[in-house]
Amino acid sequence: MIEKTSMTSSNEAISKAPTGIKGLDEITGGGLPKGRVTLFLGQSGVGKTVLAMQILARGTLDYGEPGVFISFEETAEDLAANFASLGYDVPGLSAEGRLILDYIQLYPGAFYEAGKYELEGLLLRITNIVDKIGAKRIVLDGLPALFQGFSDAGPVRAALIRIVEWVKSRNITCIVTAENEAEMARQGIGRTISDCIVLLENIMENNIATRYLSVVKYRGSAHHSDRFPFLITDGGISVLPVTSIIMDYAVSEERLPTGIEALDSMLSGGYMRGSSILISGGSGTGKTSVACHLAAAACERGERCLYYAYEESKSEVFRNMRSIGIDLERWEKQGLLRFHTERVSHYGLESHLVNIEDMLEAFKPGIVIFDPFSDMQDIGPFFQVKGMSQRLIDHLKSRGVTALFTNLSEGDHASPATSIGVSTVMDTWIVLRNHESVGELTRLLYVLKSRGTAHSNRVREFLLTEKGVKLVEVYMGPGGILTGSARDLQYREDGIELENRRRDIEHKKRELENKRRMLQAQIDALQEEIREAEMELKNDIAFSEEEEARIRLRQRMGQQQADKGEAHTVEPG
Amino acid sequence: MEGYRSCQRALENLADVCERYLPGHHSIEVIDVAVNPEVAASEDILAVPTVIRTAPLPALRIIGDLSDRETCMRLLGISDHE
Repeated sequence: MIEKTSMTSSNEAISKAPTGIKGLDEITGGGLPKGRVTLFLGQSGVGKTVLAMQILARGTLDYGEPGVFISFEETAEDLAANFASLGYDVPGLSAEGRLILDYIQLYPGAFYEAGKYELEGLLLRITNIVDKIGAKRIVLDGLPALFQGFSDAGPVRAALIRIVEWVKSRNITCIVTAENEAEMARQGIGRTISDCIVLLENIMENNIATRYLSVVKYRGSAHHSDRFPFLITDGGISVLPVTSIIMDYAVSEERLPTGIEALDSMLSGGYMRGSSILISGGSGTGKTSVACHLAAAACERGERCLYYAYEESKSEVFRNMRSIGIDLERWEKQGLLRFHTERVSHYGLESHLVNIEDMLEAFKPGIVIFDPFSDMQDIGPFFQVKGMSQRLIDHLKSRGVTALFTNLSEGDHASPATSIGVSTVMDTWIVLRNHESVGELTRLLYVLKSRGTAHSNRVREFLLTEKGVKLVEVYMGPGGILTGSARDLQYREDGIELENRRRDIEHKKRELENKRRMLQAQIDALQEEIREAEMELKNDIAFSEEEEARIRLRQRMGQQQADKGEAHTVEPG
Repeated sequence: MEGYRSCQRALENLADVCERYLPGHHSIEVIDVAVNPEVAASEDILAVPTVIRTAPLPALRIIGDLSDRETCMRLLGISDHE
């Protein structure tokens, strides 16, 4: 967060002297206050002197401001050696009148005190050196040592105030280093002389020491008030720049080949550039192989790849990859692949970030691989690691770098959740699993998620061949997924089964046909019976009807005769 | 200026002591560091006034205006029963 402090009444923006250290210039909003005093506070060994030296050197090399380094603690030879170890040519710079180192010696018992005195000699010495090269920057390193030399703080304090006044009048940017404020305050010169205070700390977290820097005060200027991690490296101090944490970054539509053809299809063309990819799986599932395919594919295109190997040695990885047809050594020789092996426990989480940032700046890779990233859980609690990975990913995305993380999942369970909770911040998540069936161990791969990509959700069998990783279709058997020889076996069995069933069906069809015919014949017979019966009945009915008619006729005739009144006996005719 | 006055006093005090207790056996050389700043650097002169007794050895330094007569004499190794 940025703390706004009140601006000077004249409403002029404070003029700043850039430090030349990227992250620090950002944190201070442009550098240290020009022509004013900045106090660097911190314990011995935390890096105040290195920081001061670097700012002085960069001042003359990058900004044409000659500098004077005055130490009250180290000899000139030691100073020169320290500067040289940072890569600066002190004799050369001195000869050119761009840098002067001076050691002002104070030792107890060097003199006796008898009466009043002033530190005129000190003033003269400093002003002379400054004037000699027209210095615009000055460092007073280990200033409190000055107070050790004299029993009376009065003259020292007075001299200091005069020095500060003089420096300000000449618009020279002044850096004073001291171990802590109490030291300074004791002599009555605490906060008043400095316009800006930078605190350097070495903090122990989880048994790992990380260096932090924070701007505690900056009169007249807005500044970041958070603590920022920094490293002391060969070239001096590295501070993680703030802008790397900004989430506003452009997204690309470009697809990067994964190096595995079938996987490219599953991901609609490959990994999206600038995205974060997680490959999780148990031990020996093939994560490194997937990672190295990406590396090789990138290098083939001429893109640089940065590979952090936290578990295996370089020769191990190279050898293993050679056995599946990937030649990483070749890319390393060509300078396209930068391979780092280290144990994560060598650094704290913050220091890892700074380290990676340095590498990104120096090597400018398009792809970064962390194998396995899950090792980070060894150096911090869950939430810290998760926080760090989010920052890392934001950092990488803001640079448009595609990042691949492998994660070792303990145990081969079906739930692939990572122990460090990073899956939620990843764009693509590919799971590798070992699969046992019929006494054989095979490997499976599936894409669990891929933001912004239409991806296949099919499970594939993952094969390591001499020509690299190959993905093949799996076979669904009655018990579930089948791979390898179990698949072949099942396939054959299924074939036989199919054949059997077919025959079975044929047989049944024939049976049905027979039955039908049989029944049909029965039906025909019955129908025939019905017809005959009908016929018979019809005849019977016809005969009966005739009889009936005859009887009726007889009846009618009889009746007619009765009506005629004659009783006749009717003789049968 | 205060510094200048201290130097004046130191010189006066020193001269007085030497005249009184070491007549004819002393010599005082005055170096103005404002005029010769390289001396300040080479001799590591920080405080002014600084009195360096070059003889008899060992050489010793005293800073201050020497207003404390007793201490001054004691440090310089001058006793008053001479």
